[in-house]
Amino acid sequence: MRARLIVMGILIAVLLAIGAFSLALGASVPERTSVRVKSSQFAGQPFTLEQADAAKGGVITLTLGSSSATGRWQEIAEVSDPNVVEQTHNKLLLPEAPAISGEQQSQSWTFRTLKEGSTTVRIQSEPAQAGGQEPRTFELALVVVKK
Amino acid sequence: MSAIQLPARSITRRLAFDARRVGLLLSGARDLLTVCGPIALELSMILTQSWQQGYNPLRDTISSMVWGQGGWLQTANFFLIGATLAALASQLRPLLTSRAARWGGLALLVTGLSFVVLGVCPTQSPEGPKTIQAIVHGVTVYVIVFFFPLACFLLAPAVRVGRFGQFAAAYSYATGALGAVLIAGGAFLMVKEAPWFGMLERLLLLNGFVWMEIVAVYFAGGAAHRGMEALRYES
Repeated sequence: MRARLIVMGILIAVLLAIGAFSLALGASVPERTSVRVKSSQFAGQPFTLEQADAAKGGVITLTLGSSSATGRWQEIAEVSDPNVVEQTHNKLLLPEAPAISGEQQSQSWTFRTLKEGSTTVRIQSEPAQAGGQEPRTFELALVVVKK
Repeated sequence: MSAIQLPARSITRRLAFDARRVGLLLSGARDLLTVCGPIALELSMILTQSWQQGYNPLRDTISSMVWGQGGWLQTANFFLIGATLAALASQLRPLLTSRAARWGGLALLVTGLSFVVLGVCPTQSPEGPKTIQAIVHGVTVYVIVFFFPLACFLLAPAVRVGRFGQFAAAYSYATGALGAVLIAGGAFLMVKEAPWFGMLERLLLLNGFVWMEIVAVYFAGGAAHRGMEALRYES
């Protein structure tokens, strides 16, 4: 039984060491960057540009307000360099839980940053739902840096 | 007539003897899987994450590795975790004498099968649409986080066997309790939308793996020992 306990102790120590290594390998504190744009900013202009910096290994949450002028935004964002950021989620935020104060409805996209570099994230409104207006385009110029 | 019967009986006994030896070999292989499985799985996950560019183990979930480079290895990992848990449930079978222990064994088996489901139904792919497989994957994760701590709590009295049985039982309760605390932490992260799910998942897995290792090593060779005694007696 003593030998069995020694073997058990060694295996547990190895397991914990490997587990700690797997947590540390490529790890960085996941910082969150939030970008919020009100629907009023899209009024009268078909193209809107914002800039943001984000940390490598972090998460970017982009929230766009939507109104009758913008219509609904497309769920999948176009990313110019998918090696820098990658979209992970998209969700529609209902009026009960508005992410932007004063907004009737908003949509949120989540991206994870993969490596340092620059990229643009482009989101267009659904042409059919924009009340016959010209589709709106939102572009986010992103610079991902190592922090 | 008796001259014909004697070899027939002898052949039957020989076949039974060989069948037991095969059974012993299989139980040995099972014990090897339960003892080596958790370490092999951790090593395999390190290998998979080292292949994936931009993978942050504190942020990214284990399931998301399926969509990266070498994602097939992570799918294989899910199957291996399932097989290891099923093998552990089989290893503990002689101890499942009470009703609670049998439910515990079943909960462990359900957890193992759920990992197989995770392998069959991958999580939502980045930039991809929400699929039925992704929904099944998400629901299965909830099944695992409920059934694994439950299995630890229900099996704790059953593993109180032998000289260090008290320790095995106490550790089973501690694993179940830590699992429940980590799940509560996961619910908090979900509400706060904090990007720390990778770390939480890894701690949950490590908690489970350590318990599996302790139980596997403590009870490894039990069936082999009993079988060898029986074979020695027969021969």
